[in-house]
Amino acid sequence: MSRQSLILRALIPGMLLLSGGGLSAGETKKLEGAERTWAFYCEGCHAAGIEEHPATLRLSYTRSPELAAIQGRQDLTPAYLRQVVRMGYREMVGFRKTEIDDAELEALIKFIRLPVQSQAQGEQ
Amino acid sequence: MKRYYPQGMDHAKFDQAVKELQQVVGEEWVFLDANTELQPYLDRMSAKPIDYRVPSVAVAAASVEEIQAVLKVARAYSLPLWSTGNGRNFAYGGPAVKQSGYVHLDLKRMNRIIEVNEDLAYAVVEPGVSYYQLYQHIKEKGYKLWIDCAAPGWGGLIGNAHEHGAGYTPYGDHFTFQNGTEVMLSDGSVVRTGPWAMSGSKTPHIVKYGYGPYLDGIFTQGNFGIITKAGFWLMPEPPAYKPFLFTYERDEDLHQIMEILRPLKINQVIPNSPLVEHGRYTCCVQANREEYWTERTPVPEQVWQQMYKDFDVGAWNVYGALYGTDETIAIIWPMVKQALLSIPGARAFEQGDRPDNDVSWNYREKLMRGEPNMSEFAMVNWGGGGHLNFTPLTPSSGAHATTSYESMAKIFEKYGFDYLTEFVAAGRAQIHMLILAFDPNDEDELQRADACAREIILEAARLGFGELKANLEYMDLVAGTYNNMDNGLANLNQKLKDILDPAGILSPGKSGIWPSGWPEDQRGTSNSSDS
Repeated sequence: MSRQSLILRALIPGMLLLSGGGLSAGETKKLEGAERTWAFYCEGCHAAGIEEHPATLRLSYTRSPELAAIQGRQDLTPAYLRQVVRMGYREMVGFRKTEIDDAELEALIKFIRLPVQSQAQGEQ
Repeated sequence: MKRYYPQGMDHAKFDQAVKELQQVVGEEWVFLDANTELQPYLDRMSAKPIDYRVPSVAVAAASVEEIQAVLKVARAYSLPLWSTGNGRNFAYGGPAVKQSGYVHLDLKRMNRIIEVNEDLAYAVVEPGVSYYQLYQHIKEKGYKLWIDCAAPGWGGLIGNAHEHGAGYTPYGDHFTFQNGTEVMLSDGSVVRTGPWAMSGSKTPHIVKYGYGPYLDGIFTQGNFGIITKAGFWLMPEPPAYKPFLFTYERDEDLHQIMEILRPLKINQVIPNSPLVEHGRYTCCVQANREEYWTERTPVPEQVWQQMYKDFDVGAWNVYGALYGTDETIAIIWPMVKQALLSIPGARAFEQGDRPDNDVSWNYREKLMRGEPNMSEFAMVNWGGGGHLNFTPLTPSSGAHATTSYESMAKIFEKYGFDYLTEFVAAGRAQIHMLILAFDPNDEDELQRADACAREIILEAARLGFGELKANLEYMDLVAGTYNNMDNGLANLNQKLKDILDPAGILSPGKSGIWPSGWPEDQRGTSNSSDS
């Protein structure tokens, strides 16, 4: 797990409070599970850091450097993320339910949309 | 997207078979809708349209017992089952079935790490276990063991090893370091190989050969059984590790590079397999193509030269590593350095010499100590998503490397694609890796890529350089090039297929091996099924 992911792990409890709170212990556990899903299936291509992550590199060109890392992007709607994860998009393959089941996907979408970067920057 | 059925099967009969499959694994693990849940089972990266290989249904078994029950249904209804484990292998067809209408048997849910033995340095895993998963498990447990992963790191141990895949540490020949296979035959019987065949064996994953014929190999790239577990040796974390890079200025330096590497590798001075990577390959994993060249024609040489300068790489770039202790490396490194610097213009780089944002150094340095990452997958961006890989095997010599390099260059030029290539200096032989990158949404590029692929395979074979792997589309073509002794190997495979899988239900057509009863006019085609 990358350094950034470890930072995320440390920030999750605080982020949940800041993102509206009211999450049950079960939902918190789901988000922690989502971090694992992120680490196994997403982080390698989509983590911040244009140089080493293929999707981030690509999005830096097709969108902009500011939109290159997808974590915390509120403009990526749950419906869009659902579509892309399952169906794939250009260089990205679709993911089977045997890899990420529906419940894990919903938790992953919440995890991706958490305002991670602003929180991380705030910590620094 | 239209729906496909197994070849020649009555639709009502198929529906009945699906009901029985649902009873085996549960309705939630049987996928039928080609427009939604079957989409991730398609291959969007080969030189065929995405709807070229569509399964009739995907069934996800979670245990040996469930596979046995699925096989029982498949035998009863003559269902062609195409099984995948982790389900990657992009460039070779990904998780797609060989022909539309097949039933996809997805084993990703079988993702248990059954054992990791730190003292004897091995792991036993199920087919769905990925490199990322095993790496994370070892880190969490604190074992002083390294895995050897493919690039990209989302691959699976069993799938990669049994597809003759390679990695980057000294344990990089994955099937060599596989030990003990549990395999299910089409009649549902389960076999364990080598010492694992003995009840109560204390050495199932630490000795490759027990008593009797060594059979593990026939289950690689084959369709004689379904692998349900396998053991893998893991490398103890060495006290010292020294990655290195040598760069060379001229294309023609390839000859001398390979001459220098051969004795260093065969004599095990360099323990892993050095990568002799062309600068075009080195650049394509860290640049957006359009920032340098907006045309779809091949990138001109002067533009490549600019990229080499921008990324401070050579025409050829040799990545390798030494392993051991500080003392042993201190003895070996000067010898390696002197040899590889003997070519005029050569430069040597060690840890700390490259900029922090050097993508190629960073990801190769990780791979050579078994840390999975996805950086190399950026090459998929280069063409627009499509890519086919080729792996002609050539003898380790400068002359053979140059012959292969120059012959393949002409084919890439003829069809108008960037020539992305590297050599894996594996010892006595070298793997000449070729990456054909294209836009899968461009019909003209698809057709040129397909024609280019066929010519690469046939020209390499004409030179005596057989492919190590094949994309689904070219399995029959490649199998046909292994034709020595009046097709002796194909004839033996046919006999084995008919004996071990008399129902002809396991991955028909895999590696060019078809059940005897399979209609001749439906071999090697991919879209001819009833729909």
